[in-house]
Amino acid sequence: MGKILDKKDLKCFFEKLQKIGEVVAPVKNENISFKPVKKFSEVCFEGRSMFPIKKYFLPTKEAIAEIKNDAFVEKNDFKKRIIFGARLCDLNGLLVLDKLFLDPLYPDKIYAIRRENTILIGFACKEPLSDFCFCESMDLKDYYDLLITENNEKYYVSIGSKKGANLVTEYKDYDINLKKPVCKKKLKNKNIHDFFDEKFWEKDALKCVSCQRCTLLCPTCLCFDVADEMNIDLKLGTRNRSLDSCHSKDFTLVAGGHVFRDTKLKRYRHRVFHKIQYFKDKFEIPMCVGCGRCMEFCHSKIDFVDTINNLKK
Amino acid sequence: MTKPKVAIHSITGCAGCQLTIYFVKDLLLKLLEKIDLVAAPMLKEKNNAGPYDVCFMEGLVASKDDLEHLKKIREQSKILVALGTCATHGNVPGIKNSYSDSTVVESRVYKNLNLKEQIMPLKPAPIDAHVKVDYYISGCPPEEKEILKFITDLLLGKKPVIYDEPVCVECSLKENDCLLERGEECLGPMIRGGCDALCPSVNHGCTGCHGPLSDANILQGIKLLEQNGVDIKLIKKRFHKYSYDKFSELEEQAKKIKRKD
Repeated sequence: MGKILDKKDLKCFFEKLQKIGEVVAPVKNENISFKPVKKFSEVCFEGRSMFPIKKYFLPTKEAIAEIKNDAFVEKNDFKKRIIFGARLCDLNGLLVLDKLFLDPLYPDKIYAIRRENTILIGFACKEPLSDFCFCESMDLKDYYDLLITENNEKYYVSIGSKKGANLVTEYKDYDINLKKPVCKKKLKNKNIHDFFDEKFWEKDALKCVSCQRCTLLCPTCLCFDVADEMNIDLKLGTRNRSLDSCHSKDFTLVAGGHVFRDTKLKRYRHRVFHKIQYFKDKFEIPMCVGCGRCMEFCHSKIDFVDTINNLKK
Repeated sequence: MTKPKVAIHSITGCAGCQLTIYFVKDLLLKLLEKIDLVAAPMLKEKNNAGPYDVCFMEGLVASKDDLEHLKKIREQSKILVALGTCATHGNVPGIKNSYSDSTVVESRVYKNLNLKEQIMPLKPAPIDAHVKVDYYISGCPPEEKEILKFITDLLLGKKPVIYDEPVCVECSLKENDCLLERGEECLGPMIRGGCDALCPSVNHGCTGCHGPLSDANILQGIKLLEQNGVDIKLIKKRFHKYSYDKFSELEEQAKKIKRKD
């Protein structure tokens, strides 16, 4: 159920969005990247951005507070933003981030405000975007305000929220079932508790160069580091939050100089377990959304799905 | 608060590393308000001997003179910082170590190899081959922001943590198109970043001026470059340009692990 638009309507709709706030959409240069976009013609309707949309909620590095002579002034971000053209895997990535950052006990203020002020409009995939996509195995939810499916120059807009519904009231309804993409790649085993033994992961870990791209480009990897940076006058400074990665050796460095996960093997295995097992044990959904970026953008093309599928006791 | 006594000394090198400190321009005066720069022979006419609270040592040991100077400075410094890739990894002069016979290189430079003892070449080596080093800030030249952060941390009484992540981290965060993925030559995954991926951001592969990561996966790195059609001889030359000894050490370690398998 939803609304139907033709190409002209979609352009008008896009222009209408410009009046609501900053529209960010995928733009293709050397690779595809989400950027503020003013013209409809700049929007790239194919492929998927290398960097996920998490950057609009959890920037790679940002000052969360200003330090002025020992006092802290918390920063905020009330910018109205429309994300236009995110894929369903990325939108489900937000569902994962929400589990942590919108936790009623420990909500993250700046994240919550950004989520509140952002409208999420997705593009449905007609076909898997890469050989590494396996989202079908991850049971993605309809987590968006609007989702646009293109079919023969017509745009079918499914409505996922009241916020979304209010944007498209003037268009005609449709009532057909839209096809979902079928992924070649499948994750066959989502319970890997019994496979913690090092021998299962050694072969992959030898290929790991610790470049951290699997975590930095992951739509659900949210680990961050907080550090104060002072100007040389030692009076003014900022408290910065920046993306961190469990593939970094310093990630588990503690006082006294001990590193808990001191080998690439321990770090790689930990990431896979967190994505597939640990998070699910705690929050009921797996942390992985099946976008395949961690394999596609891995220098050594380490394929953890293949490894899991071949796990045998 | 008494200002910490800071010194900037130099042995064999191009002096580019200490220039990085002097070139902080508008911040230099503010910096000088916080520290007491008691010795900086490149900048000052009058230079005090130690004791120093912090001494930045630039350059590598390549002669007897260098070694004597370094040892004297080490004794006088509470904290000794190896500044720049010469001091941390041996850098370009260290290429000489790839020749089993050092006179091959020396005979190209000196007409007469019977040199006076003081300038008689020693095996080029990073300073920690001879003295204890407290902190390492590599880079050819090192990054201004790293030096400033280091000094600020010390002034605040914090233990400085030196960035130890590969170039790929900053490169990916800048959403650069990966040069390795495009089939080009880039040493990024094996090299310590902190440079904000300067070279890959302008489409030039990383050549490794910060020296290798402390836990670089050299064997896989070589494999990736070979997949991209880079000749193994060239790969070795790239490695050896900035840090012959460290790369050789990491390679040996990796081979040992592989043999065990």
